Amino acid sequence: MWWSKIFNENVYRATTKTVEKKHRIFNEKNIQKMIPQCVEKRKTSLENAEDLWGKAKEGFEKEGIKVFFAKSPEDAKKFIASRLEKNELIIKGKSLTTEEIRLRQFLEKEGHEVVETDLGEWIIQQRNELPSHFTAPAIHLSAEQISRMIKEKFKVKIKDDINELTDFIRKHLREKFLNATCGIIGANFVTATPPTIISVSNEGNVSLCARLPRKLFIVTGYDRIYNDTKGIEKIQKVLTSSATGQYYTSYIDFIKKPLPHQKIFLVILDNGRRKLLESEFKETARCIRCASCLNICPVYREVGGHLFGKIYHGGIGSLLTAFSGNMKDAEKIADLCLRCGSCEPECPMEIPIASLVANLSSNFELPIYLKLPLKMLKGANKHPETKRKNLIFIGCAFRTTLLKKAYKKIKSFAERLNADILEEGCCGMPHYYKGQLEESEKRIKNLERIFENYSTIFIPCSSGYSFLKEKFGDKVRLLSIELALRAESGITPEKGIYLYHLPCHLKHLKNFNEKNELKKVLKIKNWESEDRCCGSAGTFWLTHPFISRKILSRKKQNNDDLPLITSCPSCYIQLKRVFKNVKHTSEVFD
Amino acid sequence: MDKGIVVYQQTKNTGEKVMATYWHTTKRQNLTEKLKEIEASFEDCAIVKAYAIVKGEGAFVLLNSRKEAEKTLLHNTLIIYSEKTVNSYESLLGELDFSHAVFISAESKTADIEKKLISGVHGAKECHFVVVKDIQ
Repeated sequence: MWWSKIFNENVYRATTKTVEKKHRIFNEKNIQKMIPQCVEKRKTSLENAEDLWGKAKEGFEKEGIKVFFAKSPEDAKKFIASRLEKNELIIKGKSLTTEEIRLRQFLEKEGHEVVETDLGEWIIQQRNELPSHFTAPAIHLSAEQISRMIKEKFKVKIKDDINELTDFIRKHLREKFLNATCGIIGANFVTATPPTIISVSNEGNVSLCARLPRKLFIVTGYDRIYNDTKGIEKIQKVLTSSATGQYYTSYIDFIKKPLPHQKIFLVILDNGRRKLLESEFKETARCIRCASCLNICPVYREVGGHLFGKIYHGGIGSLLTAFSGNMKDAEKIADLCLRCGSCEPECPMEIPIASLVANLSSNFELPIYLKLPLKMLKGANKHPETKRKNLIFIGCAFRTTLLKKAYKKIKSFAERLNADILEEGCCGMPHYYKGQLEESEKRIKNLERIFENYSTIFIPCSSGYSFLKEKFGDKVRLLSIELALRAESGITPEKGIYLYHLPCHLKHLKNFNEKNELKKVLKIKNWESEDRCCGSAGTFWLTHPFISRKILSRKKQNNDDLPLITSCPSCYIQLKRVFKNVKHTSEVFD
Repeated sequence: MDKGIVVYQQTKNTGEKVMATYWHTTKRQNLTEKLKEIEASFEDCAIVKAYAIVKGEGAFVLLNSRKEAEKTLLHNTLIIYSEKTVNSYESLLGELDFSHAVFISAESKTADIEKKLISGVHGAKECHFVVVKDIQ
């Protein structure tokens, strides 16, 4: 189960390794440079999805591939069932789309033998579990658990050795491949001109499922369409590099028409995708299911996929589920989302996941325990008496006794920054991420009226800064950076060596690096845990204390006991639980 | 005309491409003979002609029948050769007429268990690419 140590360690180790591999290949092959073009191609293709599918259908049918548009999961299942004879032996490649509609379970009930042929998916099928990851479904299991399962189920002697396990599964499935009467695979890309179905894989199972049986169903989402093959290799590289750190997978399959012995059916599943494309959440549809966001998600890394309850996990999972499933399940998934935005810089399709989840949250009931606290966070009403050119907006977080020192320090800079002080008031961020969009908007409007009178606004809180930066642009500045800039003129940086904690909300700001600016005037020692989430995330530490604490425990303690600095008051409070010496960035200037 | 033969890369077990085992002929040798010689040095080996080899990356193999697919996918060792080289597989998709094709860049592999890389799941456990060049 998700809370067992072995489960946690398997997931944590696997995700860490995948992220490392991804970053390595991104550096080596300069994948980042390919991304803008790929996103553009994806956008234009999705905008014209209806026409492109029309074109593709016409082309495929000319070549003898039967195309079927399934509005609902039931439509898809009925269509497939109607084309099958009795008791078929079906070999299946891994496909999230078929998991989405529970196709295997349905066909089994209809009396067919369905065999998952992807190694991870086969293991999951034997254990009767849900996949716990988009691309590596058995990520939560150890070799020891898998060999135990095989021993019990197949009554064979087998060691915990991964080579031996793989060999057993190879032999076991070879016979299925050769005798199967029907194959089912997914598709990663479908191009309209020329009409081509493209599927990436490493094991070779997809290639076999697609060629050996006399009947082939290709089940794919309505969102998998691309205009043409120009640039498709780049998108493949972006997908495989992001998902597994591979420039190419071992096999990339292309299908244009049936083989002589074959009948091919292409089933295109809508199941909420058209609605998604017309909604304010349409950017979600760009998702290529690479799972980069899951591999970096502080919560996913601790708990794996099963706790989310459905096949789509993490922030992106709540968005996908809202359209392909229902709002109630989406709400449950979103409850586990920190809204930290760590996933956004990792997403190769540039989906603004955190802010889309915030918008989606407006459909959810606000939990009872949040109603009062959010109400109490009032907007700024009082104008400070305008005397100076600039303003320091302290915000709501520094009023607790824990941050008293920082609070005093911030105020002490007012004169030197030629700034008035706005003490009271909430920026609206807590409301925004809980889906209270109107309440959030009200608070921003209040600030707008006050900010009008000033040329620059300094904000000591990194969360508030990242939030208001989106609304006010360069007019708002992070106080720590301003202090570092003025280190020569009236502001003195403290001597000493520091460790730095990067708040998640600063991660998704483009061309912004607080640490680099601070490093110009402070001695900051590199630290392997500096960009790891602390698990605080506003109210998450209150609502999910167990998971929050697990996330925090991943931040490695330093032996030399150096002071740890951060600009986020929420992180500050969380870090205080385990680190002796934590300081707000304002405290290291004088 | 006789052809010289050069293996420019080999993948084995690690999934990483290794520049290895150059099969050179010092004297002019018949291509078919040379391929047979290579085939004989492996157990359960298939030799497949690719439409083209993508330089340094892999091979684009056309599969126009079940038989061709079986040959390419079901043997322990796969040797793919071609006289044609291209810069990317993408260029072939637009211009080429085929039923099925597969771009193969390495041996069949998985990291599904504990993220540890294992070679040889359902397809070839070992894969060699051979570029055939004229020796003048």
